[in-house]
Amino acid sequence: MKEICPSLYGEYAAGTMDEGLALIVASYLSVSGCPEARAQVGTCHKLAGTMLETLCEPVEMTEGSLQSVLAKLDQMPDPCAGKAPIALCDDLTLPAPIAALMGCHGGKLKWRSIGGGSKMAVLPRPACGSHMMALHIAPGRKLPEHKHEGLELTLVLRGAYSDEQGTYVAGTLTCNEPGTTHNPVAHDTDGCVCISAVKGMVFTGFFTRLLSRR
Amino acid sequence: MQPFSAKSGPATSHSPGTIRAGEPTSEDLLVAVGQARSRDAFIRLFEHYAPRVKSFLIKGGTPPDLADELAQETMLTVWHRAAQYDPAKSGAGTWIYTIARNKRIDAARRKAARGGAAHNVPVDELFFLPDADTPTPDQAIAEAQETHIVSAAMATLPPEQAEILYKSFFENKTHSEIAEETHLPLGTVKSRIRLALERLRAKIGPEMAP
Repeated sequence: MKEICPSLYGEYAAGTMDEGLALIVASYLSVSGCPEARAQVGTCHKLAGTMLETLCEPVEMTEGSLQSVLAKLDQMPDPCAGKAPIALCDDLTLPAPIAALMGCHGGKLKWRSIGGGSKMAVLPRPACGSHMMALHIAPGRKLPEHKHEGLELTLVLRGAYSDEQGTYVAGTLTCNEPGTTHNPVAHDTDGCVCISAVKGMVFTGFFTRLLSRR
Repeated sequence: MQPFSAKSGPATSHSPGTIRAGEPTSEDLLVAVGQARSRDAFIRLFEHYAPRVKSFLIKGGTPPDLADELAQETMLTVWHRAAQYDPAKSGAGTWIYTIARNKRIDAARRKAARGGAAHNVPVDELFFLPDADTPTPDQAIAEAQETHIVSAAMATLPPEQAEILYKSFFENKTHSEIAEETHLPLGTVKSRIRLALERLRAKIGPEMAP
């Protein structure tokens, strides 16, 4: 099942989505410009904004809160360290949301070979979410068939990959439901560069070995 | 609990905590903060939104003291980011909601950070404000009256769909938590959300269809 369920955008917009998964969605919105996805998120934001206006009975602020905020208006917020583009491979840079996360972690990907010319890098783990990884799969190479216990979101950034259900080109967000098994193969000539998060996944030596097994 | 009026003329009187017909809309005030750095406009926005943001956060399970603090932080971010606000792209309530939601995520992360490894990227850098969207001109017309349109659309939802949306957006519950609480299969929760969002989208912005 590859189609993105619109409820996913609801969970993203509500801010209740696992942060690793949410960062993949944010990356998708930042790189693809997919009007459908933007419209879905936009609808959710409008819905929530309207609820804020109409369903929230005001709760009185503590005394002095306005004065306290007014006193801080002239202090500029700390600039974010993560503005600089971070290379993913060749001339491809990481999507801005992931770069912002990386920027506060030294800003360099640590690639590990997973055999056959393919490599992976574990991305910094968000405070409230699952691990994410960047994958660079060599042309025509397979990842071992794998099954996930949690939802997997993958954003294809360059090249393409195929599995039993179809082919996914750069700019595509794919979704694999918990319990599903798939057998991805990178594009014959371009290979595949992607970022991925699996809910609940914690990287272990086992997973690294699994990835390197062919 | 009066929904906002559509665009209207400048204020003739000041009425803390509420914005009535004949006064500037929240969108006007937010533009005044962004473009003219108007403290008066900011104070009026604070009086209207801070207590609502606090209420929103409390509904989502944030303790009242922290909700107060986060509502203050939300309004401070409103001040700093108001220059990026474009009334053609989103209503003020929608824009402020996304900031409040991000503060809630930030607070959860700060809490998690006390327990171990974490990062300190401001959440606004990770989760976009609606301004990152690129609306069509048709959409801009709809946005100006968004509260009315969305309220009317919400009123047409079947109660079981509205309830789930409320739990998701307001009570800060994941779809799995909603499934547990309502004794519904997760697939049913997701499909109700999908149906509700499809229905809302059809009413809110048919021009946005791909």
